[in-house]
Amino acid sequence: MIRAKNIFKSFDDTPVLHDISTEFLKGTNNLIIGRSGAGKTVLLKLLVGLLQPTSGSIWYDDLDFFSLNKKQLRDLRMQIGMLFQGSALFDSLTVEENVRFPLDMFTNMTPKEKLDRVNYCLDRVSLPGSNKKLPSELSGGMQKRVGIARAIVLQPKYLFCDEPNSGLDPKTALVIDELISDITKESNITTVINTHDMNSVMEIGENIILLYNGRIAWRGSKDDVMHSDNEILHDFIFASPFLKRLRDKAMSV
Amino acid sequence: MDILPPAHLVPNIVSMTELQETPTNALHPAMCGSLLIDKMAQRAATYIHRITNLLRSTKKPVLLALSSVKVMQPLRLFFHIGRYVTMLNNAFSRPEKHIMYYRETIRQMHDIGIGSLPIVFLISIFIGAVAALQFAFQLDGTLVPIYYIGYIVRDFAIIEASPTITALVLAGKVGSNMASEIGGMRQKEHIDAMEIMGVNTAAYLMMPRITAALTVIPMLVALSAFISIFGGYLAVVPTGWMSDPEYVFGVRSFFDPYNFRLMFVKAFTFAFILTTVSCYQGYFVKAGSIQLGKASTNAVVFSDILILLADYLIAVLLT
Repeated sequence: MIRAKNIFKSFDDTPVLHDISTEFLKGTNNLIIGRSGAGKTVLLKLLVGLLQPTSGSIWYDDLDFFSLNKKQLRDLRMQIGMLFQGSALFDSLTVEENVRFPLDMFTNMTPKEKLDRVNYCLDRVSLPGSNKKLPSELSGGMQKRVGIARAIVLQPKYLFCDEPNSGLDPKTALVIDELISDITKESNITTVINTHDMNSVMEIGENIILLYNGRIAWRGSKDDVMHSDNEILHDFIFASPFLKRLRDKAMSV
Repeated sequence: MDILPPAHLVPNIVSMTELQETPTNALHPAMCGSLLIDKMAQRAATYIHRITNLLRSTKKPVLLALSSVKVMQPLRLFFHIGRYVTMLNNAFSRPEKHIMYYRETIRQMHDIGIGSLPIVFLISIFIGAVAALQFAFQLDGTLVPIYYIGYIVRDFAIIEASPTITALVLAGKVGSNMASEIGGMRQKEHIDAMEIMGVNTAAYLMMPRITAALTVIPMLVALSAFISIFGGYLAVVPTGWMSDPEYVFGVRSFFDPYNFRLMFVKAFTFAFILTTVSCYQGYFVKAGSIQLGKASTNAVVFSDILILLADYLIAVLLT
């Protein structure tokens, strides 16, 4: 479990996040949703330690992230996997080398063991046999899957996904969502997904927080969305006239 | 399908055990990379903001003028120096996996060394040729023996032209390449990805480049000096300014091995400057293609300025 306690973050006197306190549960798809500029990415970067909060603390189980010494931090980082919005695959390396990179850097596995582990992860994301391809030869969805394979290759306890569906068609987005959700359940890890994709919210959203102007405007699960009377949530989820009509129809039945 | 693989596929992460034996200062510092930028930028901005407010609060015209943005700008120099030193401190940490750093160093040595051979060859030929022709023209009709041309070209190439001009050209070729490569990695979140994995990015991206440059650039400079002397030969012997034995005699006259030491001191210093300054510009690049272009330009401009400054200081101190 990950806990954020009273997080404030500002850049050059411009506040971005105000008093964010929340919990991200183990074995659950935890979603951070909100409009562009709401502070989702900043919160995610704070959670993984790429940024430091102006005040507040972040706890990984019983470890205060920003009070860890170097060794503890390094050990914790080995348990974190992250899928980036643009996949962040190394362009000059093949798919196999990309996925193998954390193994090369942090393990003493033999080349055969590494290859087996890489193949296992590529199988897991339904990309068997793509070892020798370069990232530029893959579609956006495939790149995301390679990103997931790299994120899980060291068997993390915490998985972070920054806009996993951005730039993908709805069908592929669904595949990525299911994959992340399956991995979360099967290995009982804490997954935090930062998204503004409504399909993701309604499909896999078990523990959702809605950010609005840097504050938590709503929290709940996908089942609570339809029954909530929160204006901000409804403005966000049912932003298009089509979805609004659909909701009104569903509510009237 | 289950994420938990068969036992033989489970990665045996060494850090948990091996890190116990690793010295603390060798580990990836928490304040590395983005976090470092964030923290330092915040601190610098706060200090500059405080000083500005303090000056403004006095309401005295002179101090108000001092608080203007343009006057406060030089304070950022201290911020850059501090960040540069911190970056170097992180860059010279113990590698997580020596083999990975070794491979990267070899790749960089190839890129810097083999990749720069044609341009170094070309400029060196012309340095020698122009120097020989100019001196031949100046010495023509004087009482200075003609073989002095060989001697002058040799010392000019070894002491000044080869180290300095090669370093300036490499700052343009290698330095801008390093800044844009590392800057591109920063912008495409490659560096963030590595940091989250637990890699000391400052060390992984810089140490191999610095090591490769310190190994290869002195070799290029030595080669450049040799080619320059040969270039001088081509310019004056076949054209009839002087005979082959005269030029060779000149090149072999008054040789002082100390000049070679001076050449290598310059080569090492310039190599260090051009790689670290370029890596710094790339590592701390901000978002956007304009910023990337600016980082690449700054890498060349600041490297060139510092190389020339270092050249002067070495000349003052060692000659």
